[in-house]
Amino acid sequence: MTSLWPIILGSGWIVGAILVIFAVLVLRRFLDERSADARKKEDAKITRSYLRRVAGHPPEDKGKRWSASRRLVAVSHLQSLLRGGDRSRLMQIAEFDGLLTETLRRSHSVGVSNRVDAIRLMQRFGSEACIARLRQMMARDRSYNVRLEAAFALAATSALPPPRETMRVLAMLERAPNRLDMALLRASAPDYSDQLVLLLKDGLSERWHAQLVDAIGWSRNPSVAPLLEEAAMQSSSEIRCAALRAASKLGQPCVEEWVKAKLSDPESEVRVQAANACVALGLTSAVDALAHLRSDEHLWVRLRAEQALEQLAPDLLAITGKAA
Amino acid sequence: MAKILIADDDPILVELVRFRLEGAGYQVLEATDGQQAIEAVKTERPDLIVLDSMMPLLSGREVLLYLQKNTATKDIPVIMLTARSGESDIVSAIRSGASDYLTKPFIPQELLVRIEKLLTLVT
Amino acid sequence: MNLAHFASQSASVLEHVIFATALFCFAVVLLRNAIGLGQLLVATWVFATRIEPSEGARDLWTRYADLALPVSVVAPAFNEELSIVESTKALLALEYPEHEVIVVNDGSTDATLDRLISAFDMEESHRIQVAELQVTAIRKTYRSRRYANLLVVDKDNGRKADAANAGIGFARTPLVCVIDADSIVEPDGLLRASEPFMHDDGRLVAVGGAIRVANGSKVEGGSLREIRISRNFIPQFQVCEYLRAFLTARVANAHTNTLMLISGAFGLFRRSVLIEMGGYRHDTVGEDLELVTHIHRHMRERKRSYRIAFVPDIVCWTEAPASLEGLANQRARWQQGALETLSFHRRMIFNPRYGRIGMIALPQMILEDLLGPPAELIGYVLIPAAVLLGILDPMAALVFFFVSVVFGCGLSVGTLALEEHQLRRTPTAKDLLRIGWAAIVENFGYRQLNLWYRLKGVRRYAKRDSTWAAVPREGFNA
Repeated sequence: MTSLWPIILGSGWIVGAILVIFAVLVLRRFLDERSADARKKEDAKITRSYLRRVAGHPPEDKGKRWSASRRLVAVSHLQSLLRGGDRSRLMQIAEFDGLLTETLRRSHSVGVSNRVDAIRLMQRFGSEACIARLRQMMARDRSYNVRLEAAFALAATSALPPPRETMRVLAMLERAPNRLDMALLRASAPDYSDQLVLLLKDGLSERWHAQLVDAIGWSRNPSVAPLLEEAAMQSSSEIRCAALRAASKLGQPCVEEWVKAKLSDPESEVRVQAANACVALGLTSAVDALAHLRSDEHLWVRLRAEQALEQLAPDLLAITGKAA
Repeated sequence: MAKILIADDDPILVELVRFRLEGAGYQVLEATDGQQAIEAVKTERPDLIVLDSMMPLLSGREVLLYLQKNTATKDIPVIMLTARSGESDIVSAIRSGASDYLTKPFIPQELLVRIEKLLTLVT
Repeated sequence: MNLAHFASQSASVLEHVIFATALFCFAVVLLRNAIGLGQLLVATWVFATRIEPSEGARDLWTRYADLALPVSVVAPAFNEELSIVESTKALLALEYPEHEVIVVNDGSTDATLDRLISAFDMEESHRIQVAELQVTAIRKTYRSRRYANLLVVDKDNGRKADAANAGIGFARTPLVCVIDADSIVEPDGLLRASEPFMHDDGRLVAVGGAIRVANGSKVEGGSLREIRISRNFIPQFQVCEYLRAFLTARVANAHTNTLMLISGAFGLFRRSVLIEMGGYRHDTVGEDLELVTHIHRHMRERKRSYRIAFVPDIVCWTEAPASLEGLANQRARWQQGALETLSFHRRMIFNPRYGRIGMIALPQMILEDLLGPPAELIGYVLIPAAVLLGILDPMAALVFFFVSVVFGCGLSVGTLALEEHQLRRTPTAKDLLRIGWAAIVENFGYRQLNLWYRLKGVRRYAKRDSTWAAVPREGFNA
């Protein structure tokens, strides 16, 4: 029975270690609470010193007393409240104070969460040095999640690399597209509509082709409209749906005819998308065709047509709805 | 000198508004939650209130409703600061009696101009 | 001479039986705790490598709101006249690009429906039900003149499963979120829970999220105003239990693809899969547990590649029973539900056709729910008895105490440490200490009491098992 000692000792040790960890965490929380007031006051002081400088006063004490990390917290918070000239002046001052250098240094740290924090700060700074570093991280960071995070930061500052590069770095083509990919492609559309159009000729899989068509709709470039019409005639229903989504986003009058024609597409999914597009484009001339779809063989088409009519011709529905 | 109450639980925002308002020569009072804000309104009678929509204890909207109920406080102009730019928030803020609103992030100069305008309207 | 020999022989047989039983109990308890420790370690690893949802991503969702899959929030309500208006308002105000709220009035005998109709200015509508999953009759549906995204379904009384099914049948969105009427959903709970769908390539079918105990907190207007910890021990113990369940067990299970339960208080599902399966089962008290097991079975039998995810962020708060009576009832019901699920799906157990669900997850459930409670309780009685009879070394009793109680304390406190390190949702250091104390005290009495309540559930199961065939559905309206 003496062989049971290891079990007692082992569990005793594990439990003891857990209790010590817990005690340390409680202590940390306790100390945090005690210093909360002092910290708040310090934050207020740092804020005031930066505000004075933004307003054009000289720095009173060079701000050397405060640690870089505390100043970073205050500045990043302050900039999230500010807009316009004050904000850019604040960021310039912060850069001058070496806070940018501190952030860039942090973007090289070993811990993933530190790097992600740095990415978020760089997104806020938004200066050229930050964009350059973000692009570097997006291309080369060893963690996929960090690369993705950098891509988001770049998308938020509309500074994504060309779509081909984005797709390669995030290994998009090796997997099925997800909603994040769609968001990134759409974010790069205004700057890179030509490249997206070129990618269409790459002979990608249907699903990816559809994503590209979808993204092109966000390019704000009216010259892509004929391409969308072409996509709407493709044999893949997924691509036809994407073309309709893109057309409703692009909002050019020249798409109206073929969008309406898609209301009689053989695929029910495409008819649903077409009804959506009619609503988005405000096509009151499609009311008759939509009314026809209310007796479609597919439930979803009927429902969607009903909803579309509610928005496009509420009066018509009130009359015929009662008669039905 | 006009007295302005700033009610917000974010110390950095309070500091920011206080700095700009004091710079423009206003007297500034502060409250960090809705209850404090109501107390301050009762005792100090501010000329204008800058109110955050999201606060602990009582939200900005609840403070607004309280102010509307009392004839003594009904006419104090209120500028709502909302973090969200959602249409419904803005509509509901105006509907509950706010005189004006600003969404964060904001341009400090804009806040000053709006305050000035509201104060001249009252007097 | 012979007689004495026989007596000593039978005594030694008895000794052997006691010894073997004690050993078995010990092994079960040891194994359960070892699994608990393993889950704590896995969860620690998951949290350590996790990246919190970023602002960059949030920014993109606001820009491309149509990428967030529309959700229907299905809220079954039975006699909730006091709170229904407030909680519906809170659901309508949830942060999400596109969501519809479907409140199902499950034949309430109070003014639940009237309150809804007058508060939201509702008129009768002729909404078509896409799929009929309920077994009771739908009376009417109502639309609000003020909120385009509110639908109220009035139906005859059934069980929660039936009301949820009725609501799911009316949903038109790709995702449905099923909640309890008294769930207090976090303002961004829906957004957080739908996050895994953003990374999804089409395989994800369901998402669960962390649920916390709301007792003691300040709740106003159907939302949580201020987190506080109840002064009462019973809710405090449950705070520890919920943390253990949601922060370690579910996180670890989801990481190893063996998540078996998405709580009925909040679950996000792909509508099409629920419809294919016919929704919740009506003949069990553990419909939420059964549903997830059923999803696994459904997908694996059709050889479809699928995934069930779990987000450790808090998505919703729930009021836990504050009295022992309520607790006894709840635990007995959970136990009964677990046994019912195991019996419905017994074919899957140790069946390699069902992969890790059949080989790992269900056996683990048997260990937790079928063998665990009686083994531990018997151990508490048998092991000291065996020591007194001189069959076991006193040392063995000490080991049993260490493995069950002391180790239990360690796991609870460990989970609490993980929470404090990662999420920090306990209001103050004092509250943290209070919960820490509860995590230790719960192992002396509360834990054993719970095991006892679960045995009650076993008894209920045994009784009702035979009455199923004779009395359909109505028998369960307890």
